[in-house]
Amino acid sequence: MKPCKSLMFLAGVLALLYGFRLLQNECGGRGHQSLDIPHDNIARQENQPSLGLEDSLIQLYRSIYRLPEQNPNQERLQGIPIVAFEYDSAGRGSLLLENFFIKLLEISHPDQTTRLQHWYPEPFAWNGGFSEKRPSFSRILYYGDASIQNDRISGTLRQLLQTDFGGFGPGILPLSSLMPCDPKENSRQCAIRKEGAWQEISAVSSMRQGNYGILSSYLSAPFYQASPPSRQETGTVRIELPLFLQHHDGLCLEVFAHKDVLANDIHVSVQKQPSSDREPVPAASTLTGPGQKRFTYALPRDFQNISFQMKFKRNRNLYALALNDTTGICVDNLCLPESKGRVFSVNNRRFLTDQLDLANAGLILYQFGYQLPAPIDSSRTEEACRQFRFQLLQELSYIRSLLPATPVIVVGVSDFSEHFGVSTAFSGHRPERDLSSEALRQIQKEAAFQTDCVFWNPSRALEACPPTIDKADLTAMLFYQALMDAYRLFLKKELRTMSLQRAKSLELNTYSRQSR
Amino acid sequence: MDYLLQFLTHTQSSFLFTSLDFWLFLSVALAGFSLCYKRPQTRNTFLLACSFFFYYKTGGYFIFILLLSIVLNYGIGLQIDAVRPRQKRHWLSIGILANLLILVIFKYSAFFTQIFNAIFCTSIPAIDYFSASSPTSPAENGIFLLKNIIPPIGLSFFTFQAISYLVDLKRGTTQVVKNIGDFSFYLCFFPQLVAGPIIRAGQFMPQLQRHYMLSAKEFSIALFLILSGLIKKIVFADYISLHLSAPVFADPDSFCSLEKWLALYAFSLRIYCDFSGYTDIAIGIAALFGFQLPVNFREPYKASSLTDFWRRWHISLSTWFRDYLYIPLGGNRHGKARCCLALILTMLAAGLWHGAGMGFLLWGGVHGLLLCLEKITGWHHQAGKSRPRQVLGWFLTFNIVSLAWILFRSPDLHCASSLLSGLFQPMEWSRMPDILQTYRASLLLMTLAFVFCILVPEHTKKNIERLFSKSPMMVKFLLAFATAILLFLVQSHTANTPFIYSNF
Repeated sequence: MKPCKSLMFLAGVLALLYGFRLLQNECGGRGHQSLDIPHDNIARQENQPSLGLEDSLIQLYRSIYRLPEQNPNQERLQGIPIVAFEYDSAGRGSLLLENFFIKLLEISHPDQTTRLQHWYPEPFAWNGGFSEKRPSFSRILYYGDASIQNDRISGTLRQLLQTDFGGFGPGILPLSSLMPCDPKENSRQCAIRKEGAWQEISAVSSMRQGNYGILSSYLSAPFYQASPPSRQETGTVRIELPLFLQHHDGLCLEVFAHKDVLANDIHVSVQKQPSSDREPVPAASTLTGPGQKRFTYALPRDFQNISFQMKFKRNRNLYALALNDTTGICVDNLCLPESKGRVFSVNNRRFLTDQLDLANAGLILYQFGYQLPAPIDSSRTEEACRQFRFQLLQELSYIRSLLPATPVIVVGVSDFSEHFGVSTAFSGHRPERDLSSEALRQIQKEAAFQTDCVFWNPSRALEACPPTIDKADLTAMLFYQALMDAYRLFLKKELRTMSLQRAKSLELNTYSRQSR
Repeated sequence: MDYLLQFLTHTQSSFLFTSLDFWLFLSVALAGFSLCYKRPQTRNTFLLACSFFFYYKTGGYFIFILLLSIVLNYGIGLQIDAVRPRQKRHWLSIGILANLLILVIFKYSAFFTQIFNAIFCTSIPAIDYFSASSPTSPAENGIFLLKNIIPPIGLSFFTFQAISYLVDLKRGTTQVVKNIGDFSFYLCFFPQLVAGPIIRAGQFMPQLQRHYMLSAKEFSIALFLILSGLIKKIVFADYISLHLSAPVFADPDSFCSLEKWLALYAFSLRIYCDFSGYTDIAIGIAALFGFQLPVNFREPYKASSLTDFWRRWHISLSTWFRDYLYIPLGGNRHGKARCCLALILTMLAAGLWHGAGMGFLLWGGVHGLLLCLEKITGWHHQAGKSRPRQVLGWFLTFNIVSLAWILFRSPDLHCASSLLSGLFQPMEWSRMPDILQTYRASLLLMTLAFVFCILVPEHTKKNIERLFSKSPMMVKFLLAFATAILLFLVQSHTANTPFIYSNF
């Protein structure tokens, strides 16, 4: 057989393969453009009609900020200024909002030598979804690995958003372990101290252990680590409400428990006066998920404390309590226990399956910030990136499969670990210096777009500072600004579709944040 | 034009058998070959040029190391042939030392420096000036750091090939190669350059003078090998690695014991499919040019003892170590104690050959010790005597080899110990449904790989090969095209993972 025959054979296969690739690219490109979004750079100016984009944003904001018609905070939505911006699409039906001009808050930067300028490209890339669920209130779920940072970020964000859109309550309270730490004292206290809005919350723990939680609370999932009660016992949680909440109408208590917990195992009662009898509160609804149950109790007006009692039996565990208004916004944490942010294991999958369904999230913020992939030596950096991409895609795809229409915002990793050569995932014994945070952010962005998620990159504004409370506050404020600016876009569209009469009745004032 | 320039220059992107660029290169090579195949000398020169280009594309400036190795070994070979018998040994020693020196500098300097620093509490840096000057090698602030030293691709393979040539020359089992072009071709024929098999000069050199011959049947077998090799590599090895073994080996603490066991077996299958896949492709491609390369794998996971395993796994390397290290150290001719010592030293060297790391050394040491145990107990003779013993032997050997792979594969000893200890924690059978759900695709591929690569008897595979070769050309073409589509689709999920043994 002559070599030219081998050549013809090989050339034939390659030619057909090339043709197949071309065909696939053509078909695949069309298939991805599920949203009618332009792909050109479009410069926009104030008061000019937008060109194509907003459907996805409108859908996104409808799902996040949908408010009841009687929302008392409606008037606060008016008067938000429309600012000029440019945006670009990233292909695949995704949008990049570039060159945001955000009205500066007076934010104190941890690094006193620099001043934030808030010009950062690609702060947001949208590919919004539209939630078919219509929750009574909108929960933004902050899903990540660092509970301390998430506490602070979500807490600040909650304050800001609840001020704008209403909503009250600390959200989800952590219950990392309800085993009585003191056998003599078979109960735990949860003190909520008011300082401005919700600022300090003591999670459920013994008084002797002190308080936990910096700013807010988080939902922890101890079912992999916590050992269930070895014997039948009753645990009591008493929540003392601060004065300003005591007379609030519309609070509800959510109980997240193991799926085997029965309604009869839980007793919720309220006390209107310290000396008065406890009034039982029946469960208004019970939702069952793959691994959990959610009991909802509508709390009456005018009470001072809530008593929550639960019978603990073998394999029946309590995961969290949540205290919220029935309207408005709530921002809660979903902290993946012992997560290194780069491995999507069976445990993670099970955690998400159990948690996401019942958490009823209208928007998910996905941030695994400081725990980067294993810094294998440079000859395996490519493999490390490949693994990170694969694991991230797996996780995002799984979240997407659980919540097909819920918008997910992937937050870019910070430069902290790369800059400081440490990794919180590996206690510093593996130097991180070979990893490029920029490469990881690129991977995150690609993975986000591939799974119909959104990407937000605050790294340029945050720089490579260690994770601190100040930094978390800053992240929250930046994020709030980014969300609000996108929301202004939404409002602009809404205004444009309104009738002239209705438009004239609105007073467009300059929106000032300094007063808040 | 940009693509052509990119194709002609060395870039960071891979030039593997699994990349489309390689197959374009092969098409060009075949095109040129079809013009000059009738004259052996012209043919060899053309293939040599292709091999140099291939190495340049794969290894960049490290081609100079290859050229140095060629010139050095060619010159020493001539000397060995020219001098008197007494002096042959001196020149052989020089040759071996020179080759090992190149190997040590580029592959082991970092490792030995680390050991030296650890023992003597010093902090001597291992600076690879050559790599630092290469535009494609990473450096930091002008200093090439310890961890950034990358050995030239295929260094271990062509070095050992060169050593085997010199030793065979000295022993008189091969003729000296007087034409430097032929010698270069022997050392760097591109299908086997990167990851073997290690060919002996006596096997390969006669083929250089033969006229090109490729029957239709041989073409079919070559095509079958190429297709099966690509399927083994891309469909089995890469997918299983990405989805199961690599995440667990990188971070064992995040996985339960059941997942660790699955990852262990997954890696065993992966390394076999990866390496044997590569070898199959290499043999197939070489056959297209009319050259025969030796078989490198003979169903190693069917071995009923470790001794048998090493007769089936990476045959070219194991025979190399047997002929050039184990036997010169005494082999089994001087009693069991000496035999065991020779075995352990040989396996330690084999471990070190694979990589500059404690893990590889320990891996070799473990195999050496277990081989000694087999020698002492005589298990390798007993294992095949009855069916139950064969099954038991197979089960034990497969698990021992798989467990030893932990040392081979783990990025460091900490990971290895974490993985090993994790294996023997209580099994969480309640997680089985989740695990089956999470890894269903990988488990299916593992099952298929296990069945086709291990369980299916050899004669069945030969029958399939025969059936393929008897089928009409159009059928072969359609099968090749279908395989190409499948590989393309799978590769979009796995990305282009390098062959494991191309790192050695």
